[in-house]
Amino acid sequence: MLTTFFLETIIAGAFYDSFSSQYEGHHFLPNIRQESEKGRLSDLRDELLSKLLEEENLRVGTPHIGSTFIRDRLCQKKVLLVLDDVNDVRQFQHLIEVPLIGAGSVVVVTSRDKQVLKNVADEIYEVEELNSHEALQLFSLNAFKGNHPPKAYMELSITAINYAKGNPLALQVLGSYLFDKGRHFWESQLNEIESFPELNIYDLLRIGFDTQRDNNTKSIFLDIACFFRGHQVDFVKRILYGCGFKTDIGFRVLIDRGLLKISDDKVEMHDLLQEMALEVVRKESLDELGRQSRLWSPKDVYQVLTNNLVRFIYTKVFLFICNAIWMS
Amino acid sequence: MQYGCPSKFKILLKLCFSFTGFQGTGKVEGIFLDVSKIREIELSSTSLERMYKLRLLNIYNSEAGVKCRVHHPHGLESLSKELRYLHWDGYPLTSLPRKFYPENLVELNLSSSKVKQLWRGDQVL
Repeated sequence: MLTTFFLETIIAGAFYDSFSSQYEGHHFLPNIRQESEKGRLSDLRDELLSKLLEEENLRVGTPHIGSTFIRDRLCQKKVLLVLDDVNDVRQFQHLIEVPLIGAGSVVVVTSRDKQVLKNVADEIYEVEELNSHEALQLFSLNAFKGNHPPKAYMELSITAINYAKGNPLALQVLGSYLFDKGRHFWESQLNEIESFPELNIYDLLRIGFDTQRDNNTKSIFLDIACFFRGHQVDFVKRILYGCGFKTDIGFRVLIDRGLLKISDDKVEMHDLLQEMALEVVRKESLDELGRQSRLWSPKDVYQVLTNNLVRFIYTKVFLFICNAIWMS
Repeated sequence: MQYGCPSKFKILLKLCFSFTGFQGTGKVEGIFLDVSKIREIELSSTSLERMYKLRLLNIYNSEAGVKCRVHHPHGLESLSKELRYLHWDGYPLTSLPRKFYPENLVELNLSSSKVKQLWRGDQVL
């Protein structure tokens, strides 16, 4: 079983691609945490069974696989299964009943939560950070579109990868941000990073975001992070274009900067980038939710949509008192 | 004294705004609410009406089996002129607000709503 912090999906994907042909049935289920939040776990299980048993549109409908016909057929199959980004043991239990799959089957689970893996896995594999050589290579791929930095940029590149601390996402974002920029720009940006009091990954990721000069791209990024992650790209573009944003250029810039990606016609971004974006929105108002531009958490929306009446009365009372003071 | 008055007025005005949050929800541009996470909500009379910058409103139910209720006892007088995306599963009222500006709308989805008539009177589309 596998666990990593950043590269888990890529490694699990590579494993799946290399070995899936050796199994009678195989399937890769990405983004389980996200799908589970959308209430789609049962759909995922049906998809999984359909794939493993090579039967279209299999519907189980019940929490447990009751049909003995399905159970018998599953038992005879040696399968390879990848469950990506599981953050709750119940998701695992809902998707697959391990005793049901045939001997020699392998289930690979990726998770950020070691506790989850301890509960479901026989073996845990922790992925290490990139070493400095790999980090330099990944950074150069993004910053210079080559495997090595040009000599003149070697020192600056090493400074940059030291800031990223072997984190692949940070290397990518920082590299794409500095791509095609002059030496002077590199120096000023790296100096700025150095001036951060406590450099953490969010600060580093914000670099690419904060320096977007146009609000167009920023707004698109924040809308997607708050609302449209995982939605069809055409749909998202249509809505945002309707909002008056220049979606073609905005999407292109965000993709070039490594802040956004399109996979399977869906708009996707890295969890950490989303978290960074949500933090940007939260910081718009520390004291009052209504001053935030975007609301997504049920608790916050509930508060904003229900308490305005109270505030309205307060306003009236306050205005009345002000008026009284003013008159006196 | 001549200059005192306007500044006193300004301070009072500023106080009003900051203390009461009068401008409060005017900043909100987007709301996505999964009602299955809260089950029941009674909307206040002015909450949505005062969000005059609202572009995106999506009230949805991610769990088909879970019953959720959105009450709107005071009715809905208006929705933002800026609204581009309106998705409301189980919209609780029988018609859209009286002041509703569909000309900017890109997508309207009111599945399982109680709407009988989109709006009263004429509406320019």
